[in-house]
Amino acid sequence: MIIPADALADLRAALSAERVADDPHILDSYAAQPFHKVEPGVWVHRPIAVAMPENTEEVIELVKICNKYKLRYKAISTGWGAQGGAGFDNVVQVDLRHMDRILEIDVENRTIVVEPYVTCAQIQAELMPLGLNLHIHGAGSNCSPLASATSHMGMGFSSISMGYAPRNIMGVEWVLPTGDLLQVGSIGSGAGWISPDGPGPSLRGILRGWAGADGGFGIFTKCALKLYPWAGPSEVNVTGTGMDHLDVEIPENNSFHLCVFKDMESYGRALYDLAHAEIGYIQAKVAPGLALAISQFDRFKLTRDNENLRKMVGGFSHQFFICLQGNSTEHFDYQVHVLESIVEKNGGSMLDISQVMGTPPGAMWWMLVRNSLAPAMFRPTGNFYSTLGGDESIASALRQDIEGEKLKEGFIAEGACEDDFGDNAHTLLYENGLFAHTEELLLFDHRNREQGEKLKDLSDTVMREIPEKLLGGGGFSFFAGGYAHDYLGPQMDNYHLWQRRIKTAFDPDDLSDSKYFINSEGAELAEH
Amino acid sequence: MKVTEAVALPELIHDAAERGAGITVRSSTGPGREGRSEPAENCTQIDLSGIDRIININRDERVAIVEPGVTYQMLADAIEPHGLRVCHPLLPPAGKSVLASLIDREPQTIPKYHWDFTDPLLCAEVYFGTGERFRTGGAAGPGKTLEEQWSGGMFQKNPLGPAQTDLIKLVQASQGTMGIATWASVRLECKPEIRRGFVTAGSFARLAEFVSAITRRRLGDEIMLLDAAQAECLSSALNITAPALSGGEWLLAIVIGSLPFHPEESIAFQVTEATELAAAVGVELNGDETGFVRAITAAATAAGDWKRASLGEDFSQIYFLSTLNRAEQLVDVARKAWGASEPDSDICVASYVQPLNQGRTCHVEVTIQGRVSLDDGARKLAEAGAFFSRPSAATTPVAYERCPDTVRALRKVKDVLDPPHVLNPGRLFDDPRVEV
Amino acid sequence: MPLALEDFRRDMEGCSRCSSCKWIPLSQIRSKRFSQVCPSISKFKFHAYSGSGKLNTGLSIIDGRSEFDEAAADIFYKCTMCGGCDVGCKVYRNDIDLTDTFAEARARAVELGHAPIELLMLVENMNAENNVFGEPKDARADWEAETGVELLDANAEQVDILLHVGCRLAYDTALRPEIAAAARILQKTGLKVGTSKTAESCCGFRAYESGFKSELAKFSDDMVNRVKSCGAKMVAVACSDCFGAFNYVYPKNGRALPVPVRHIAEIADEMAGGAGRETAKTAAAVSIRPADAGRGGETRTRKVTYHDPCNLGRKGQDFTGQYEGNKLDRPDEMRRAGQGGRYDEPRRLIESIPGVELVEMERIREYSWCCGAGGGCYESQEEFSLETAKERIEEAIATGADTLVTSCPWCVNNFNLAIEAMETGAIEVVGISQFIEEAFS
Repeated sequence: MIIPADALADLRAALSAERVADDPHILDSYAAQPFHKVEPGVWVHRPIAVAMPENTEEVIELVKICNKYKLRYKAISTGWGAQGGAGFDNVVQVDLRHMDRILEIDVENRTIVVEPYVTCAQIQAELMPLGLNLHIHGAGSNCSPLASATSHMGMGFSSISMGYAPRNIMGVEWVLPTGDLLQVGSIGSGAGWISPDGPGPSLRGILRGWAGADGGFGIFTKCALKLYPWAGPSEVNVTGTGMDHLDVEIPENNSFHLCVFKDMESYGRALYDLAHAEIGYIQAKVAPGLALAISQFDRFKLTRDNENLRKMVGGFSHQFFICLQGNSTEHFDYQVHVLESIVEKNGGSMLDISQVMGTPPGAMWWMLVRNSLAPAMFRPTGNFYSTLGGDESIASALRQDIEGEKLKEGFIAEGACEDDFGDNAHTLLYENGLFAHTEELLLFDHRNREQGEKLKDLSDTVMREIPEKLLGGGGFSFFAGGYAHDYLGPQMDNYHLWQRRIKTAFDPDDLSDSKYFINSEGAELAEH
Repeated sequence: MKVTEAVALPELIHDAAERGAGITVRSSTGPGREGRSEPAENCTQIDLSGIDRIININRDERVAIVEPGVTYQMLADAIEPHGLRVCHPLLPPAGKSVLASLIDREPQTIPKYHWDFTDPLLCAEVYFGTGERFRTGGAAGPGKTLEEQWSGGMFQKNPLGPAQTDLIKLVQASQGTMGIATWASVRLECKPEIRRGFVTAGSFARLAEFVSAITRRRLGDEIMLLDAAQAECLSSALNITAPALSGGEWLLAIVIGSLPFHPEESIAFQVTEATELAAAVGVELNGDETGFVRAITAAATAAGDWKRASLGEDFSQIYFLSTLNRAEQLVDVARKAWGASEPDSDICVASYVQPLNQGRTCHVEVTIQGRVSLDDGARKLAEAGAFFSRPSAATTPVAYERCPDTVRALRKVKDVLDPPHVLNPGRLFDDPRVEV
Repeated sequence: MPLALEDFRRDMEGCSRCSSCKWIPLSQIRSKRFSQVCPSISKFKFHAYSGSGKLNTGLSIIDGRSEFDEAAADIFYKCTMCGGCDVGCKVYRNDIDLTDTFAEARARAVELGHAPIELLMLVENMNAENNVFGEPKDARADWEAETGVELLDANAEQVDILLHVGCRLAYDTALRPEIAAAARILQKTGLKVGTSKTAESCCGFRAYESGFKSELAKFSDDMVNRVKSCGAKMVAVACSDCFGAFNYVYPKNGRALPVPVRHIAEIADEMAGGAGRETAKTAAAVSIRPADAGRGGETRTRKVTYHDPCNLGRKGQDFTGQYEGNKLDRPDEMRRAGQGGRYDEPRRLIESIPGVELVEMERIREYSWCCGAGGGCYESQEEFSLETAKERIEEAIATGADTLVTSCPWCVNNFNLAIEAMETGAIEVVGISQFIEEAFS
């Protein structure tokens, strides 16, 4: 499919010839998205053009051009995963790479305003000298915090102290699917980026849900985000590059701990205690097989192939990493004291990670603070997928960890995914334990045809398990496509009807590529 | 019309729609204070205060589910044996519904637990203008009933969702124009074993700098800034003595509460840090000798509405959002607007600044003795940067005139959630005074 | 068996699009301003120009989704082949070799006649005059006479060290002080140092990187023969491109030189005692006297920053063999991820000079920003090449340094062009040999 000549000419007139491409090679570089894609192979739909606006005005113009010619469009920023690519044949890909400015850092009120293509690592590096930090979402510091907060998910290692990305929004500038501009929150009233809600009902209520619309509901051009304190040095002294070779000294009033418990019950009790304790800067369970795979790959391989070592590593399943940061020595000492008490109370141990895994604590500490771990998920087998999981209570997370492990054992047995020692739950707390995140990660290689072809079945199996086994949080089935809503919606108070009605009200021609949001297919059926 | 069961709502909604009428709801008892619009002429007001069960309390998950008629005092009493407490607005009146306060996005007095503006509301059961019932966030399920969800370990904790929807944010602060909530799950916190109250007086700028420093570290529980008139207003209502202030000084009331583990040690580090941060900006923390801080941080007042108790029926109020470093300027705008800044003025204007959102934003509430027109002042405040996040009847026009794009979007949403425009019609963004 | 683009299918399919190829390693990012590593995506913006995008482009071609036409070739040639993407990627991935894939894509472009005309001319020059500039081959040794340096004639007598001068140092008159200093440092070893005079020819690196793989055989055969015939026990170079050619490209193509290859920075560092030596040792080893001697003990303070040339740094590791299995299981030491680059030797030399303070740029060592001259860009992508150099000069100036030292004449030249275009007097660029000799003189 090619773009109509008039539409291409209009786009080039609106932006510039240099920033609108229709060369097939350039188009295909946006169509290779093997991550988070349940269909086999690398390619998603090839866009009919790629347009790179430089500012909000240009975004508005190009969205209006797409509306004029009834062309679908899909925005991408740091874009990682099939959700960033075209979901249909006639899509103009909007690459926001030119919009990469930090527009404002309000140190006093701990807020930052960014454009779509600024990454978390860039922001964090600028913030640390100011004694501030930002929540880095699970995809890692190579990614755009705007994309996470407005359009996708938002858990991260720092969630215990910095929350869930969409709850960190302080205002958004949004080009609606029809090309109209909407500034959400106080910024829309000319009152600065001080509140994301109001006047009256908050339009955050349509901007996104627990999950974002993944580009299916307009384009976000600016976002204000909350900042959090950083009680470390302006610059952390890091040497080395590879995951296995980082050398970092943990600064004063900071620490890293690996807390291990003997069984699920004691681990769960410890999580509840942690959720009440109001301590911790960073916290997560990273399953031991995965932790080895991403930070000490040689040891992972050694362990994978040795039954005794596997058993030994399996003994570290009920655990979490935690980094403490004190605003003062007293605060730091207090947190260490509390953590020791929690571990002791629940019969656990605080282990030296360098002895357990070979990773120096400083290296692990910095990889968690910077969240430079995420791309390492591809290291063991070339790809991974999130299946079961969600955000709800701690009880729900623990239950899903157990169910998820059982499910995955079946998948491993049938060769749908690689053997990662089974347990691969990634569990963490939000906002000092307000709610909890868990996801059962599975490793596979999309280049392995058999595994690639089984992924959709596997995703659909999980989708069916959610209501059958009463698994909270709703899972990630819609990562496989918007069709999941028509299955899950009726099991979850018909949320899909409301989602579709809002989509239709604001995008009557369904032009903001809704493959991963919700579209009009099946709408009539669902309404009845 | 008093309703005792939420399931009656769909029929009431349909009936009203058929009649071309509207419905509004009320969950609190006693006189309202927020300056909300009176219902339109052909609206039926539905009283939900009789639906008043506390459906669930879960200590581990720190959550409770409350129906509309549950007041702060009822909830505080019920959760106290579990070692829990609920965040609340400044001295909620005795009849104040927890659910109504949450749905109205009222300001909370403990900034460190105010992670997002929706807090501490988590999930809710809502009826829309179509008559359909919907449960938001984690409460959507799976699981058709709460009991079924509990059996799966779900405790209505996720404040967002389900999936790619987040309808509760459209219902909050909608004054019943988008949906009617019939229960809500509320985030609770561990009740501190030790609470130590402190007061300090000084210029607003210094106190604000101190508050900014402590909220940045999430230090302190209740934190409030009051001017002399506001402090006097509270002390007269509660019949207690407010700390003395000299001309132009503000009062900072702060509670430092212990944490669940090692309470004494937790108090020690917090007091040490707070004292050091206070000294760094040149203020001194003093103990709550008169019990003033303890009194104004209570979950409810037996006396009813403290503002009425102090000022009678004859007062006006205006409230908006700002930031700690801009709030004082806006208070000055308000004082000038209502003539309180003249040297010989006898007009009493009381100001209360409540840090929110872990100190990034603050609620500014200005109370003016007597019935005054708020229109001009509201406009001046908006021009100076005040944000009317929760518009009252008086501030609705100025709030929405400044954001026509928002109004257009909200009207579209209203058409989706309430197609017959049966829910409190003609209010807020749909107010005929709002021209786009 | 020679590799082809199709042999890199798994590499191309394996890219998850995490964009680590665009940034310096995430753990090392110290500012937004200097966080990017890839000159190509930084300049041309469309994803196709990133390391990941080039893999996608190659896959599109071998999957038959697009033709290998001039537009495709343009994507592969707008790349300095600096290897920054490889380092970023290999922080996480064992199984993807970006620059190796690009090299095969360029080879395909050459086969199909889509190489840029400037690079065809470069190869023509090499074939006609044995140098990349098309200068007369007889003038290759003129630098000796012009600088007064006298080295042995390795064509006529046996030597211990064969100095391979390289095209840029042989013909660029602005670089006479650099090659002369390098030669004098070598002479300080007391060993017999010679050159091939006018018989020396290009190492072939630029042609190879530009996709003219078949040209390598002729130049490498010539080099191997000259090394063998002069009896040298070591080949010395003062150019990082030549270093990369001899140390990595030749052995990778089964044409390893029979003796070790050392860069002048390594040799000088070793002469001075390597790590842990004292300053005086450096002075004694490479020069005449310390800078402050005879000046009343006053030491001139000079702030210096060092630029790691790609082929001495991240691409400067020794060739450790071609891994034949599933690269997911490839051992670390067989990945070309920047390990083993010559990073410390030049820094030790600089730091050992009295009165010199080494101030580092943010992008250094494995994740250094490229000078812009590599990958045929100096010849065929003039504006891109210059802009890439300007970016580095801005980074160097941001350190507060007054001098930018580097170990490659191509970098020196490109940086000087950038400084000229920027009209800045804030910083001076000096080659490593010239710098240490001057500093001690």
